[in-house]
Order: sequence, then C-alpha cells, then structure tokens
Amino acid sequence: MFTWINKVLRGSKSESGSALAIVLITVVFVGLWFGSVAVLTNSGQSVLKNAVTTSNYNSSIITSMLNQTVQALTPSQSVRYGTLASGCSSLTLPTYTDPTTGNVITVQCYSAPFSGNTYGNSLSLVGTAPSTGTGVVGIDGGLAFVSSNSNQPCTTAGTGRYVVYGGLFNASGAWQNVSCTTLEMNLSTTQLTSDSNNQLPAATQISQAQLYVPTSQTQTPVTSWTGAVSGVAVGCPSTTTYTDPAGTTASASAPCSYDTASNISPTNSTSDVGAYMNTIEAGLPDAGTTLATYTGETTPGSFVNCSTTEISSGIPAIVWKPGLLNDSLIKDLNTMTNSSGCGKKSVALIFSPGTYKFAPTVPTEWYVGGGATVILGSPYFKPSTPSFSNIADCDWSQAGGQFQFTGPMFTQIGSGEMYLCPDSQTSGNPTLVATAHDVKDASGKVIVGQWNPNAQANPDNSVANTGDNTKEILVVAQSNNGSNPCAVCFLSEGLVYAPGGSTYIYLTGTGRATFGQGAMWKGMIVDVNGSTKRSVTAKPPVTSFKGDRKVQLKFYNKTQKKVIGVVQLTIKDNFGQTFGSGYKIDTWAVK
Amino acid sequence: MLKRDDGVTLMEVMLAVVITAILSVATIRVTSAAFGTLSRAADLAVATTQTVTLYQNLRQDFNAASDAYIFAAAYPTGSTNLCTTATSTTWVANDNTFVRELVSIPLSLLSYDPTQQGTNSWITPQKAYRGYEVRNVNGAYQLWQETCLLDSSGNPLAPYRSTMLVDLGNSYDSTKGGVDFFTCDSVACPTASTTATVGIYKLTLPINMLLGKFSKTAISVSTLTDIKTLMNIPLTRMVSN
Repeated sequence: MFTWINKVLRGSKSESGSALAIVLITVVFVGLWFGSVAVLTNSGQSVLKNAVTTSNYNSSIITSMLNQTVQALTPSQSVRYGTLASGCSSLTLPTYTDPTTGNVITVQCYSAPFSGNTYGNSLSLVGTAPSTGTGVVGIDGGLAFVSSNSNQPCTTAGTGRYVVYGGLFNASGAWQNVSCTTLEMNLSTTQLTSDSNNQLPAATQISQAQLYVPTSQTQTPVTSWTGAVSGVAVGCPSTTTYTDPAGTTASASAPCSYDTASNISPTNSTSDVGAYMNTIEAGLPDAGTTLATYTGETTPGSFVNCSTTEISSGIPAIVWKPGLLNDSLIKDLNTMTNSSGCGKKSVALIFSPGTYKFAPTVPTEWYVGGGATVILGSPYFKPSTPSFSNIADCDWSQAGGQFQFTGPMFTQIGSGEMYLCPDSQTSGNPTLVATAHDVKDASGKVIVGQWNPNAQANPDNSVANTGDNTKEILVVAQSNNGSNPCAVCFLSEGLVYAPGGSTYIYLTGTGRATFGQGAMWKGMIVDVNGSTKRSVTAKPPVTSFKGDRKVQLKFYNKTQKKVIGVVQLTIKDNFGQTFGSGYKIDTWAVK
Repeated sequence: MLKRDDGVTLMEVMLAVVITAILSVATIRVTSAAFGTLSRAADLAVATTQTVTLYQNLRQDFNAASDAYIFAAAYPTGSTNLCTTATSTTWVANDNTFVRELVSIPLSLLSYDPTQQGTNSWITPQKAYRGYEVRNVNGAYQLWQETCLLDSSGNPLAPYRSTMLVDLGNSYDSTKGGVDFFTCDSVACPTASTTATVGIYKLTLPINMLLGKFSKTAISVSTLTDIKTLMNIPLTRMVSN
C-alpha cells in the first residue's frame, strides 16, 4: 500500500502511457461533442415530427368524436322558452379508443352560464317588499293601475287595457286594480298591431301568457303593501283578459303560474330571472369618461337655442356623439327639449350609435316637451320622405345604442316623442339601463353605476297625486286624442332594463309606452282612463342564446393524462322546439 | 523510480513540445469543426422550434377564426380590422422601423391548462384579434404574433401582447405583403377584406426565408424538408359562421 501511494505522489517512470491517455481522452471528448450534436439534431427533427403529428392527431380525434358526442347530448334535454336548461356536466358521454395507439379519449361537457335560458317574460317587475315598513305597489314592486277601468268590457271591444304579448313576471305578487278590464295577456300574432317594428315570435317560442307569482305560502303578506288608492292585493288576480293564438278574446280566471319566492327571486342567480339579469348586466358596455358632444357645442352648459344644426338622415338635427353626460350637458339637453326648444323649430335630436351615460350629481329630470323628438340611432320615416313630421320610429335596421341612467337621473316624456333603437336587432342588449346596484367588470371597475334617486323627490309635480309616486325613472305623461298618433310617446325597439326603479305610464289619448323587446322594472304604475285604444305595449325580450344551448366539450386523453382540446358549440335546439337541428362550432382550441 | 536529481535532455524537451503542438493543433481543429457543426445544429434546432411554434399558433388561430383579413404591401385604406403595432408609416418604411401586418384574425380565445382535466368549469371565451406581422429588428426581419382585445364596438384595440415567433433573417422581400404569401381555397386571397367563406388557407411564407442566429451562415428553411412539408399543410377554419 505504501509503495502504491508513493508511486502516485512522487510520480512514476511509466510516463510512456501519457500520450495514449491524452489521445483517449481527446477521442472521448470529441465523441461526446459529436454525440451531442447528433442528439441535438435528431431531437430537433423529432420535436418537429412529434409536435405536428400530435397536433394533427388530436385534431382528427376530436373531429371524429364531435358528431357522436353532440348526438348523445341532444335526446334527453328538455328546453322551453322561458326556462333554464339543465346543465350537461353530469351526463356520461361516449368514450373513444384509438385502435392504432390504444389511447382512450373521454369527453366532459360544461354548459355556459344560463345556457338555453331564454327568459321569455315580456314584462318583469322584480321589486319585492321592503325589509322594513310597507312597500308601495307599483313603486317598490308589483303592478298598479290607478283606476279599475271597470266600465269597459273584457272583450275585443274594450279599451284602455295594458296589453302584454307573452308572460308577466311579478316577484312580489303585489297587484292593484288588476283585472280583465285593465290587463290583457295576448298570444295572437294576427290580432295585434303595434308601434314597434319588432316581429312577434310564434306563441310556442315564448313564455306562456300567464302571470308568474310566488306561491301563497311564500308571498309577502298584503299588510306589507300600500297603494295610492284602494284595491291592493297579493297573490293572483281573479281575472285578466286573454286572447288566444287563434285571436279569441275573453276573460280568463286564475291566470297565474306559481313557484316559491326563493325559486323566482331576482337576487337568486340560478333562478330564471336572476340568470337573465346577470346575462344582461354582463353585456353592458362601458361608456367611458369622455364627455358626450353635440352639434355646435362650444362649452357644456352654454346651449342657447336650436339655431346651429346639421343635416342628418335628410333632416335638420342636433346630433349627439356618445359619452358621458354630466350636469352641464344634461342642462343643455333640457334646454333643447323644453317647451320652447327644438321641437318648436322642427329640429330633431339624434343620438348617434353608441353608449350615453347620464350621471348627474343632483336629482335631475330630463323633460321632453315642446313636441321634441328624440331618436337613439337613425330616424324612421312614415311616409318615407325625410321630414321632421314624418318621424315615426327609429330605424330598426340601423344600429342604435344605450342610455345609461346612473345616480339621481329621471326622465319624463311630457309632450314629445322618444324612439330608442338597440345596438342590433338580435343582440338582446337594452336601450335604457337603470340598475339596482353598481355593475362591475371582472377587475372590480364600475361599468354602470346604480340608479339612485337619493330619496329626493322627483322634480315632476304632476305625478305627485299618486301618493309616494316620487321616484319614477320614466314618466310618460297624459295625452289627448290629437292627430299625432304618438304625441306623448315612448317607444323602445330594444329591451328596457331598469330593475333599479319604477315607471309611471299614462295610457290616455294617444299616449303610450311600448317596449319592443320587453321591459324590466322594479314596479310599474299604469294610469288608464279608457280613452285609448288598446295596443301592444310589451313584447318578449331576446337573449343572446335564443333558446340554443352553449356547451364546451373538453376532450381528455386518459392514457396520456392530458386535455387535448376544448371545443365550444352552439347546439341549435331552436327554443327547444327542434331537437337535433344541428350544431355550430363557436370556437376551437386544440393543443 | 527516477532519481530526484535526474534531469531531462534537450531532445526529450523538444520531443515533448512537438508532440504537444501536434496534439493541440489536432484538438483545436476538431474542436473548431465540432463547434461549427454544433452551432449549425443549434440553429437547426432553433429554426425547427420556431417553425413548429409558428405552425401550431397559425393552426390554432385559423382553427378558431371566424374570419381572416389578409393585407398587401400597401397600407390598407380602412384600418378597422388591423391588429398590429404597425402604422401607415412603418408599414412602408425602408429602415429598421419597418413593421407590416400580413394577416389579422378575429377569433374567440379559449385558454386552458392541458394538465388540468379536473377543472370543472366553463371557460369564458375572450373575443380578440390575432395579428401576424413582420418587423425589421436591427436589420434582420422577424415574424411576430400580436393579440388585441376589442373595444366596445367590437373593433381591435392596440396589441396588448406580442410574441416573437420566427427569425426570418435578411431575406424577407419588403415589397411583398400577406396576399403574396397566403392563398385562400387555392386562389389568391382578397386584400384587407373578409374571407369568411374561405375554408382552407395556405401559407408559403417561410420557404424562401433564411434562418440563422448562431452560425455565420444562415440556414435556408428549404433545406429542412420537414418544415417545407409542414408549411404546405392547409390551415383550416373549424368555426362555423
């Protein structure tokens, strides 16, 4: 042992092997170098081949599995307009075994929130009784008629009825003076005429023409409610007028459908109405912080008269551009529409397509008087010659926009016309928004602030005679039977989404409010005197899904333990009426 | 064992020097050759990876596309569908500021983690545009992917995410635009307008391009037969309009 250590430490005479050792080391080193090059080259090529092959393989597997998967999703589903479709995540879908590789592919299905939910009630009143004190029917919730209109028959000859095509949802179950002389539920596409250009959907595609209310066990007691006049009730009205799809009109008794208050609670995100509200609010656009502008504007708040105009759609107009309306701009707007404003000069107010956020800091009413005509979108003329007096609607085929009322913002159609068109015919997006809470995006940014009257009195005194009627978002005032068919007229071709507050509508003379794609209010008061002809005042809303289901199919390679792709489909159930009518690929993500 | 006072002769020293010199020269030459080969292999690997990434991105984007707008060498008159960092000036620049978009693709993005099978949720699709643009970076061309979210009107905003995909080297012909490299259903694509009815797109861009970063000589992609084959694979739109 000592001898061996001595050799190592002190050197040895056998240096003759050193050159061989160096050569061997060099050979090994160079060999490793070339080896690594070869490996790198081969790995690059194999990466290429593997990546492309795998990618194409995954795609072809998914393509071949799509049809059988959708077929498996279809037969057991039941969807009707106005109901929330059941989800698909609990379904067991067919698996696939690749005969070449032996890979086992499974499919998991996930439904979009509110998939198949085609909320079909034309008029929704989502207010419930206050937690303390008493609520006012028609303001805090429910539907109130100021008079009973009892001298009118419950037949086709009757006038002064509020007509709803489709269903009416009332979360509170509170009513006042509701009977066949004041309210008509109608499902006849042949009997109805309307100011709105919206086409009526088939009766089978909408909610049934009923009143949807909480069951008697879950209703708020009648003592929780009060009203301006007698006749407050909770539960189901004894009668409404009903016109069936064939056009036969008669009084119908017990016209209600019931569910528990919790099941139909607007604050319950899984209820039909709650899901629908979430869907609408998720799509609200951000108006931004840039101030709106108008023709000839110099300084906000300094508008004098309607002398500076431009030609828009062939008529003289003051044209607004989208943005924020602060106190100064709303003041200008009121000057434009006051009793001696632009209406007297036959100058229209056209709000060009986009989003307008009304954000006053103090309670402010936008009063549309003096025969002013307000259009969101483009004017529609009837007859077709462009002129101020021929404006009969907004042009349904053109893009419109959205008015967002935040804070203490009110409006009254006193003596004039307001026509609101949505951004598109089929989007389902509202034309007028007044929410019950701040609507925020995913980051917490407030997109639309809550409509909030701040407990201040509505500046409009003409409606104060109805008790606590001081907080309406929209008032459509009284009218006479003049030659103008829409002298006091509010016509929205899109949804009016205002769960934050209530509305007061006089159905007198030629005055009316028409909701071409439905309306949602906290409560509603209708004042009829029997002089007006009955007309369609509410139609069903559209939803983004229109009765079709939205699902995502997740394809999982069980053998390799990898998700190989996600494909999103629209299954064209077509309002639940035509199962198996095919599907559409919305998007495709395959690794 | 040598005695401690034994020395080495001059002959032995000379011999050792000669042997060491011969071994050193041989080693340096072999090492240099190996380094060159390794650099080239590295370039090939980079080219391969870049091209595969490009292909996969193109393939996924075209699969999910609801439309595709393909641009020419001239700046488009309407810029509604652009998703690019280019401007009308950089689009036609002849210097290092050159940026030109080849194609812009409206789509819905579905982001998921392939390893998370158990994640039980609906993935909220994100509507966006994907743009592919060529940039001149310090005299060499690069192909970049841009991602643009939408404004309230549905038009693409400025890119919020940019990813460099391929080093194109110096051979990009700046007189050409996307319509010179794409075909739509085997015919020429329309310039800067909808191709929503087209089912199959084909890109031939990289075949005449040069790649190269590590070695002195750039690598023609056409020498990579797999890539050549790869880039002629049709890009299919899977989304139904």
